[in-house]
Amino acid sequence: MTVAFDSRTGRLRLDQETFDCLVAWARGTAEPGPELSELRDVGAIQDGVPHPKVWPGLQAVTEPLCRLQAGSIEHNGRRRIGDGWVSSEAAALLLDAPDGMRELVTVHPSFLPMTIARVVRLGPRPRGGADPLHLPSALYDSLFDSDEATRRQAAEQLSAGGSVELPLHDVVDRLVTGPWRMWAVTLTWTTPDGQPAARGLQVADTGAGLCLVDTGGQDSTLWPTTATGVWRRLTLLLPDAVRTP
Amino acid sequence: MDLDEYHHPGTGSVVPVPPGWDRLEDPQSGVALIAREPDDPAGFRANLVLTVDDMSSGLGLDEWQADSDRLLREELRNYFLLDREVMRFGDRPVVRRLAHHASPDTGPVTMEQWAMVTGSTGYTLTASVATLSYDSLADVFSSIARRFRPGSTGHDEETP
Repeated sequence: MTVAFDSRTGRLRLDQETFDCLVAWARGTAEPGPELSELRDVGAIQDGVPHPKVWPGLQAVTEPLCRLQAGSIEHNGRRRIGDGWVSSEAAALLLDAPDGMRELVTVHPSFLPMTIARVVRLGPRPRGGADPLHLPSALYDSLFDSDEATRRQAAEQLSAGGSVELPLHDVVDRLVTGPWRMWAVTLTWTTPDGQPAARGLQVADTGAGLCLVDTGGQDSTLWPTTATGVWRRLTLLLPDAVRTP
Repeated sequence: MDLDEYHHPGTGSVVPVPPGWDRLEDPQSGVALIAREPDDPAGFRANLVLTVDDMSSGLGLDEWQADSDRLLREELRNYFLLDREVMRFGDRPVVRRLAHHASPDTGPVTMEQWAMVTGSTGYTLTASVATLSYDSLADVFSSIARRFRPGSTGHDEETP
């Protein structure tokens, strides 16, 4: 395990145990763990306090106004997850890194949409169609399976017997062949009157178009959208307590 | 939102502008108009900028906008292209792009831009807003772009 810290950007690369140790230390735990020495060695902790680039993120982790959960899956079954904590001053994101490590990124909350857009590689895509595709949830699961043969079978079932061209047919074709990435972000918090609240979105990103995904109920729906449509939703994710502290 | 129609005397363009926004006419060469929302001590003031380029060298929309893509990447800090499409306003092809940039002075800014050519003049309408406020103005920006009328500037209309 090797911890790496970039003091210019504040990015901290570490494993989950070391992150847990850092948080326990920030919370004042008497013996947070042996990983603390490596955090000191790389400069994430200096003279008994967190580095100034790490401190706002750690405060968000220990006293969050809202929590963030993110995840993605690709056509080959590769999964990545992310955890986040947001305060009025900072958003801390702990993201899966390719080598099994995790990366702690701290930004101002107003940069959260951009940070998510970079992580999921949001960008220009063709419009996949105008009409949504409604499908039974079992078929939806098969269409996003990591096995191409299963996806192909689902696509054939979708188009079987239909005299009308399938909505989003280019998107469906791309879901069969890949590459594609499905990603989701959810923010949760408690309102001032104690009620749980959440905002989120789930997006299927194929080279043939972007879709918002609605998986509530027995049926699932792919709603065609654009990168602009996704961006509008990303800019609305934060709760009002963070947007206008 | 109702929009006022601003007539730019030099180009003959008509720019829909939200009521109450400050207007600066011809503030510098190549910039026909800057319109900004009223002072907001809390942060970045949303604004609209109309720039005018001489296209008499024969540059077409595609080449011109390929250059613009490169310049934006080079000149705006932390530039990130979110969306880009070629659309049509009537018979006129328009390049629309949505991008994000940020600097210590501005904070995170979402920029939406429409570029079109009329005769030998290139018009670029750029709308910018603090990123967390983008959704509240996105439809207004879109309406402004659709109702914008470039001037004829006395040159022949471009053949679409």
